[in-house]
Amino acid sequence: MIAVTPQRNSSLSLWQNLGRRSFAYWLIFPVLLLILGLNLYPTIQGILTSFTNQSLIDPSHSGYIGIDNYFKLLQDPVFRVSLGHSLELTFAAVLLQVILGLIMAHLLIQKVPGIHFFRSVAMITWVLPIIASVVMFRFITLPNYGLINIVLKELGLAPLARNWFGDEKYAFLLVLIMHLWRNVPFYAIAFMAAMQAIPADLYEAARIDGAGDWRQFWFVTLPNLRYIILVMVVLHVTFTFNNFDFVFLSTGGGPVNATEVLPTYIYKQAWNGYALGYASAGGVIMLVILVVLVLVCNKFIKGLSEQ
Amino acid sequence: MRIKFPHILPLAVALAATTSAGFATELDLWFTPLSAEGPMKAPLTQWLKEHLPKDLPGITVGNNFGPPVYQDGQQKFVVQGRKGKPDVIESVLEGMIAYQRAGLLEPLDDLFDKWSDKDQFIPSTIKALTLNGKLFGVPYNTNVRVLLYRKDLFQKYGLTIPKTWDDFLRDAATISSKESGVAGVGLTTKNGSVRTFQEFISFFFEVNNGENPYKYDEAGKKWAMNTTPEKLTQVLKLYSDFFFGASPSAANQNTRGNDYQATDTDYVSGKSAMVPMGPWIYSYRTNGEVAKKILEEETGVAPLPLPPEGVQATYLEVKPISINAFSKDKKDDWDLVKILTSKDFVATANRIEGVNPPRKDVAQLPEFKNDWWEQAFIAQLPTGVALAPINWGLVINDITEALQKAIYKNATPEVAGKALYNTLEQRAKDNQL
Repeated sequence: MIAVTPQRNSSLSLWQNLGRRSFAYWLIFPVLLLILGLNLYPTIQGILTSFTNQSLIDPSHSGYIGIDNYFKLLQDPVFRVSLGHSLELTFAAVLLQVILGLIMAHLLIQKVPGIHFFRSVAMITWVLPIIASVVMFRFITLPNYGLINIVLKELGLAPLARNWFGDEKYAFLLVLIMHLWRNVPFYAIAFMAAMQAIPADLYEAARIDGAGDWRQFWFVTLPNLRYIILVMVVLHVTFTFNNFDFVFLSTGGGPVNATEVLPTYIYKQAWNGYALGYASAGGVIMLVILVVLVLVCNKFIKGLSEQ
Repeated sequence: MRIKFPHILPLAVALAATTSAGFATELDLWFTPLSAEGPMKAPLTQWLKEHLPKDLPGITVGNNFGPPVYQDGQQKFVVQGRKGKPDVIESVLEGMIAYQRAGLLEPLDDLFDKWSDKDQFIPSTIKALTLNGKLFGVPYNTNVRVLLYRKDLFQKYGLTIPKTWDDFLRDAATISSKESGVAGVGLTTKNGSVRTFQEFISFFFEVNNGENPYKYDEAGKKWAMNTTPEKLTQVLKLYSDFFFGASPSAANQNTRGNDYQATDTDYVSGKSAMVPMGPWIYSYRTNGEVAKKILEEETGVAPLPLPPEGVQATYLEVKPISINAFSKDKKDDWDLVKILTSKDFVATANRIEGVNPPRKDVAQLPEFKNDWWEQAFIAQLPTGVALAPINWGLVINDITEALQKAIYKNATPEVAGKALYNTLEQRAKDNQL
């Protein structure tokens, strides 16, 4: 197959070249405009707001205050706790989702009777609205009427029964479990699709070379999955770090800030305190961290692929 | 046939005149109980359908009654209110204070003073809606927090109605230890929850001489602290004692972090014997036989017990109807406000929810006058304290966070109380109120 790349005609000037391609530019212009209007403008506006003391309930008294909001944020212990939780949650959730997704994909790709049924139902958790998932988790963990506590009591393990979301030690773990419950099947289906595309002769060659199951997975399956892993990791680093719904709907950030993450912290500043400037500064810090995280992920996976 | 412009013009003018005469003014009304799924939605919608065409001729009210949750409505109104929509908004007191601070509400003094019904409203409810000397809403619903207790359990264990915090703790601990599966007291302790705050502030008002934690300093032109670290500590210690003061504890430790749904459900299903509560819980009696029996036959209503040297005071909830300052049809808006706070509407709405009427003429109706539940709550209305007109959002977060620190043993009540005082003081100094 011959790759065709557009070549600039060196005998034409830049403007002539642009003119010849104007149709293409006109085609992408509406999308560009949309992206600029919906993404770039609010981002720049948010950054500018972060240097002001703008309040939603006192809009007429907004003024430039330099980097005061950033200083205040860094001094706020709840902000630091939230930042720590966001990073911990993102790291733990994405890592576990990749590992468990690979295991589940490996199980789903097996050719056993009834596997198509399991492949179909696997995506249910991902299709369910987050609010429905959270309400379900809240019901099954209720102290008096929740399924988990009822089962524990029936098994004679009553001392272990508790208000799971109201317990400092377990609330964060439950938030993590909700992320895994929702996303692992999605990872598994994506990985399974990529696994099915790996040519069978690669495995055959590996077997001839004496590779066992583990070495086949490590040297054939995993390198062939690196691009889908990169896509999933980048998507879910962004999703998990930005995720607001799971925490807000299940614990509201409590108990005692045990599950507070950056999105819920920023939300409270903006909508409970109406401190738009301060909340914007939190948002800008979040944006910077997110960009760095995605760049690190990219670099890490690229490194793997080069190896 | 050619139609010439001069022929069309009079026809168009005539058509425009006829159609515009046929159009009614359409007002946007945000009224949370009309959009939230609950016992009030269907009957109140029906009431409006029947009454609006005859009481407000020429005016229609849109069918979208705004977000079904107060907090969502609050966020949306603060952002979009300046566009003039909704024209009329129902809210909670904390929300109304924020709208007024944002300059979104129309002062109603002149209109209210000319209204023949104005003397029907209980003065304390009007006072609660008067901010900086101006009235920004007309009340359609009010209530205070009281103590609900299980008469049957009190009788069974020979207990008397608790009058002091010490009695309260002792009675609750007695029930926890003697009645299997029942906690002596049920409390809402979720962080950031408005209900957690309302229960806390009810106890706090008792300690703080019936006054708010902030007072406006006329000389300094800013809000200043109107309490002490010790008083905040005293309330936090009460909570801590409920969860750790006895074995078994007066309040179930496994219910720490519960929001209002769990507190309400626990009481009506017999899992707790006492709760600081408002009158709305009466609507739970349709939830089943157990709830009906507990609420109608086994529940007693008493004032909240008092701390040493405390005064009888409690959180006063008032729900107002207000006019958007940017609405184009203020005369029509006021007509709608009058209907939504009229004797008939207030009676219908309050009866369904079981809350107290802010109108004297409604309170005199037989269905309110002869109802023990209504009367028990109405008797406590004079002890209600309205919130100060500050931005409570972050203060609610601070208070609920300190409360959680105390009940999760993250800090002693003394340390949490002092830290809370410092945080609240800093907010006043930083003009965040």
